[in-house]
Amino acid sequence: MPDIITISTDKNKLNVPFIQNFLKDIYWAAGRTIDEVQTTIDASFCFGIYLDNNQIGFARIITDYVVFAYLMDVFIDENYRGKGYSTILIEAMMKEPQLQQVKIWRLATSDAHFLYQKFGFKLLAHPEKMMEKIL
Amino acid sequence: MITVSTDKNKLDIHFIQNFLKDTYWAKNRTIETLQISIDNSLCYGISLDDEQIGFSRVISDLVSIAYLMDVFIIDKHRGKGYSTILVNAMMNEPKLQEIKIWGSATLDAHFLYKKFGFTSVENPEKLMEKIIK
Repeated sequence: MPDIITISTDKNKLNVPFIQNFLKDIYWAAGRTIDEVQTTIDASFCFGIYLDNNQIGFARIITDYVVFAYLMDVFIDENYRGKGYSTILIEAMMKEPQLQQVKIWRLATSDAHFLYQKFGFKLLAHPEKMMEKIL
Repeated sequence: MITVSTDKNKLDIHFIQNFLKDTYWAKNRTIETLQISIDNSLCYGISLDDEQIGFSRVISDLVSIAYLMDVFIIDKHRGKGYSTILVNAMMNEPKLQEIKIWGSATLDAHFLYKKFGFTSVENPEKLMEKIIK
């Protein structure tokens, strides 16, 4: 039987312990607790990716639905990498009907630029315009 | 008297849209689009004697990231420190005290955000964007 990959934006289907278990050890979300993961889920537009109904990855977007969208916490579990699943996940985000009005998409990544380039993301045209405060 | 409120019901939507539609970053933003953006943001209205003179909003997940958007004071009330009061209200928002990454994009107001600890982006090569024309 072929493996069935599905993507869902239903927050009730998300396996929050699975998500937290991955994120707590990753450089960009180190130490994030279950309560914090749940708060971010509640406040974001979320995508779960499932292989035969088992969650294998996650992504979320903070957005106002019309102007701005920021991709966050995009990942595929290490056991399922190299099969194009991250491309399927990002394609679902970029094609999400509720986000088609968004004018500015942004994200931060240390090592996955190639993945986002497929979807038209580029380095900042005017990095001098961006400011940040990192705590 | 200057007050800052997070009550969306107090916002003067027509005042906000009238300002934003002529800015470089939000030109042609309609009332409908503006209303959706307000519905999905933490919003701040700043008023002088009960008349709104500025606005700003924050998009956030309330844990890791907060992005400042549409920050303005109308022209005739500039130069009096009101924008500092407005940004201060956002940075001190009780719901945003866990935030690890604050972001803002600006052409000409870097001085304002520097007061609150914002700096130029340290690793711009890590940031990517897709701008839909």
